Amino acid sequence: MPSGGDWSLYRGGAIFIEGAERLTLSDGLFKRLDGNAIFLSGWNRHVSILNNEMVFIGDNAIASWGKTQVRKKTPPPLCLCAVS
Amino acid sequence: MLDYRWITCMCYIENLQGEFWYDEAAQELYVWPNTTSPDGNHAGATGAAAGGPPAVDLVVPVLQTLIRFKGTAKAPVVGVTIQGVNFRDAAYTFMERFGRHGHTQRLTLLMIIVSRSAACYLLRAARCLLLLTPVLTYSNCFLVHWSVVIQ
Repeated sequence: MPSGGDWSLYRGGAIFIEGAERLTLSDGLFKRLDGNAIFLSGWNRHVSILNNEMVFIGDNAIASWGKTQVRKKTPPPLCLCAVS
Repeated sequence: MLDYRWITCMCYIENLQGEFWYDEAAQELYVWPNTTSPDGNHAGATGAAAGGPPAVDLVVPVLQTLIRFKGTAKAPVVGVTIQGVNFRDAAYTFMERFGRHGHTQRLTLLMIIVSRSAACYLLRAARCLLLLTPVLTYSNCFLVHWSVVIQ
């Protein structure tokens, strides 16, 4: 897997949600979380994040990041990296 | 927050609150506590006025993930509601692989600054959001002192 480089994102968070449907996070206080607070990963449907307060979050407050399908037999694409 | 400016691979106390360094050889922990609270008050003011160290609560976070929902498109987690629950003091993740600084810790300060650019994260997440997570609702969220918000 090539390096994510400067575009990379850590796939994780204090509340990690993947493969959820009709999930609701509401009326909560997210405080001093030294990473992503809420991370929506991959496949999710109808997730609601309502009336929350987030303070002193180290990374993203809310991050949503899907996944792309990668064929295993496909050679990795040419990656020009300035940093080895 | 850990000091990530390991330019010389030496982690030492700088002049910023919130930094710490553990001297493994001497088994001593150096802490510069961050005494500012999210409410704007200085939590350690009373202790410092009495001549002692600031009366702050030191928290050692252990867990990076407090709750993990893990389902699939065929067998999703359905219908969960978490209401009125507060979460705080999760462990830092920026030293992990693909964390915000994990892959750049040995690089120059310039590269670290580049990696913290908000635009990169925003572009990537926005593209993924449109393709793979089409139905999301964020409403009435109050965000203070965040680094980057993706939506």
